[in-house]
Amino acid sequence: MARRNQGIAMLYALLLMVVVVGVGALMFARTVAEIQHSGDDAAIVQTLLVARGAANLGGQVLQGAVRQELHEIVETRSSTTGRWSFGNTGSSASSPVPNATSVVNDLNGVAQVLQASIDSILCSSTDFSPSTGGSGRFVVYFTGTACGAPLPSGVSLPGGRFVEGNPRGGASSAAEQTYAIPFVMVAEGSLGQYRRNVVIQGEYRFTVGRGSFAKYALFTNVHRMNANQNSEVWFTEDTLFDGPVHTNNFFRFFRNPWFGGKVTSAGCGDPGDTDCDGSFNRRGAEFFGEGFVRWQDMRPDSDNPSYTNGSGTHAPSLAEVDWEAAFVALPENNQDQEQAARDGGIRVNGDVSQLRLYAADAAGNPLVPDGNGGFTPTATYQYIEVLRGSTTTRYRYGPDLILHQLQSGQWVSLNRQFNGVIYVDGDIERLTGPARSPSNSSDPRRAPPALARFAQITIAADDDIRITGDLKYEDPPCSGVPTRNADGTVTPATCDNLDAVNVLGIYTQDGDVLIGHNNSQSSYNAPRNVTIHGVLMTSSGRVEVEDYDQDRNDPKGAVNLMGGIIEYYYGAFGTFNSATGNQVSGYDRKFTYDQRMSMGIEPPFFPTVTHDGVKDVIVFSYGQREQVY
Amino acid sequence: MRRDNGLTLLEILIALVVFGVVAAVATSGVANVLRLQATNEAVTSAQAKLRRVTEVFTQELRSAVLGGVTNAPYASGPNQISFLLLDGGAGYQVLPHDSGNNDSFKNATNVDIATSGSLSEVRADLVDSDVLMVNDNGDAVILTITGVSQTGGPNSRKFNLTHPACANTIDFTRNTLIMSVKTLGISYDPVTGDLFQQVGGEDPEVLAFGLDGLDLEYVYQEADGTPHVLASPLLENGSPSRESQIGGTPVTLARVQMTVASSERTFGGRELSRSYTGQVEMSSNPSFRINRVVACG
Repeated sequence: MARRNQGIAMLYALLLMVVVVGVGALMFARTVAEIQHSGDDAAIVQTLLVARGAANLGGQVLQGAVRQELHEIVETRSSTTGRWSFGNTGSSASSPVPNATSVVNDLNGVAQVLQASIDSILCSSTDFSPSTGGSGRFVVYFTGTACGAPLPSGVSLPGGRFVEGNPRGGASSAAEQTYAIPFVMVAEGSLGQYRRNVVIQGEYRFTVGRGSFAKYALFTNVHRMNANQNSEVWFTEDTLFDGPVHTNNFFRFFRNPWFGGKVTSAGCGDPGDTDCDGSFNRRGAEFFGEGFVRWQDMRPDSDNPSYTNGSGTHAPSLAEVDWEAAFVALPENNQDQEQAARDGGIRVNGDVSQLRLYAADAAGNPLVPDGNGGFTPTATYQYIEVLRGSTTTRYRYGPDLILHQLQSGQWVSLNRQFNGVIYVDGDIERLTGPARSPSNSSDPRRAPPALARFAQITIAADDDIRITGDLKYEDPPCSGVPTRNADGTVTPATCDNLDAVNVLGIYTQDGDVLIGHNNSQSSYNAPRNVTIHGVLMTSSGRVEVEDYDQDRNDPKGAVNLMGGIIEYYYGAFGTFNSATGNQVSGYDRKFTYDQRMSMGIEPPFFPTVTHDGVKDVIVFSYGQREQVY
Repeated sequence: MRRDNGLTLLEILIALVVFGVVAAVATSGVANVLRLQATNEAVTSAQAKLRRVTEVFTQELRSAVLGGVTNAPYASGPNQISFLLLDGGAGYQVLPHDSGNNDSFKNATNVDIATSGSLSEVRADLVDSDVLMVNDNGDAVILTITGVSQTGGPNSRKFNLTHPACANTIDFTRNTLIMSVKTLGISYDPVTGDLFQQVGGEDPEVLAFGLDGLDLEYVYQEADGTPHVLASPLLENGSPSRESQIGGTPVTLARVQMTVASSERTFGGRELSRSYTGQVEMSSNPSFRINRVVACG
């Protein structure tokens, strides 16, 4: 009886345990299933978000790296002579649009080259891993195959097309034209076993145009000092360029010159005025003691060539280089500037004795240094003085650009906005800004600004232009110059005021741009350490120091240039003692590239290159497909 | 002795009573837990269903070609909406019909395009397909292409597409484009509570069961951002219009917002209702947008 009673208690206890365990197991299983389901949901959403992130990244790449690749392709494949950059074949001379099928053919070629180009840089580097987990990647198709994979099923790519723009009237026309190439982007996100993709179809629309020569820090058609084959120019350790450098010829390197911008050379052995005038048989560079080396043969590679011999190691520091760049012809005429001066600028007949620019207040008082590197007060007018013979004509304009002329002691409005162009149908014997204070100071900081902060001026002349004084901006974009450190590295100039708008261009078609030197009349000579803010250009001559090898043993310091130099031959600035490195005559070079020139700022009506570049891109999406299931 | 003889009847009864009380309390607690969990599950289930429906809906709508709303297969309104999805090549350039005023373009039953593909590729992409032809003005028409021929020889980039069943009804502009598309409609049946999806000419498929409602609202904006929330898209000549006027003020369809509702029955028979709201910005760009899709003729 006792045993039976004890068994009943145990049975109840066991039953209770079974019930509790059963209920617990059921709740646990359901909870686990819920967690699993929630995890699936979260992972799918997260994966889709990663795919969208990859698509956004792809959009940025299209705006950046792909644009750069396209720019280089357009430089070499667009027409330099036709009315249209693409689609000239079969286009009638009166048609407002290029031939559509010809555009398809031309842009098909562009798409093929572009695909190969971006595949080489994107296929292995578009993966990214967000910190929240998972990974994403994207592929861009301009042709039927990208990164070795065909287009997704159900998607196809039509041909390219012309969008808008005007035909060009000549090789120097700067008319912009817009074209479009369709693209497909496949962006994929993955997280563990989960995959989601987004397929975007759209068109890559790009505007082509002919950029200004002002974009170069240095440009030479022939990289010698003159027509003499022996007048070679070598880039040395003192060479520090922090902007784009180009020659239609080829460069020579001694030891380790530094280039912070892109270096390009067309490799033409004997450049002509308008084309290579021969073959591109010098695609490479000469290294001291090694002779000329083709770019394909450069060691260890063409991006970082280096040669060591008895004269040292010759290894230019190249941020980016292209040894097969397109030939860029210097413009043949300056009618654009002359016409612009007629239309809304100042045109002067014959030679000018002196052209003086200065920023000043309403009373004509030049600004004075404020002790902090700036000037005071803020300029209210830009003054322009033109001296011809004994007659001086004075102009001025304010931020509203309305041009006034001083007549009988009164400023009289000419009732038109000044377009910034001053054209002289002759030479300019003296071009200067306001005098230093005191006038014999060798410190360029004592020179008041020549250009008011709102002024944008191009001075063009048919013949020589001699700079005889400082030409400074009131609001300079940069300070300092690239400097070689003791360890051989280079510290670039500081350019932290890129919103500045004052800009100056100096251009002569048939003459030289001279830094006045060694003239018997002191007013024809530039001061010591002359400072020039602007882009200097000559289509057929040199930018050089006059009689640079004369007046020996009285060197004049440095030409402090913030801007660029574009010239036919490479002009000399001074001479140096080869044993000591000391300056013997003329000027040293201290150049700073005005980085605004690579960002679209340029002097008004400054000459443009004769080939197209990509000036803008826009990525349009027609629609997209997100993977739903 | 007691220990030797086991428990007395009184002890067993007392133990049973105590066990019964404990079991009752435990059962009640378990039942409460189960009820609470069932309620939570019902809420979770309803929300998961609504979220999924909203995700699918918004993903599809976000993919709408050029942000256009149409009237086929369903007339867009408070419970249903139609739009277009890309279904092949997009951006075929349309060529003018003639060199003059190009009057022959409108009302024509064929259209010329220029593209880089071969005849077979163009045929595979466009023939027996619906295409959307849209011009610079935002006027669009859906055409069914039945034939293609290559004009100007086998190496030509020019093709002629025919659509004999229905003529073109929009004007030619320089940037007139053709895109291979399919129509997509989503409709809610308030009687059955089912949400249907219809792609092209296919039969409708049920996208979700047992919904309590689907409310669509079309948000038009003035230039300064002032919104106007409407139950149906504004119409021009019977077609949904992206750009229109309200009281003389120009407005643009900026987004579509949807509210979907569902209810779930809990363990205890109680109904729990939940709703989910989402918005989709109607993508467009300054150069390409569908202002209205007009009927072909």
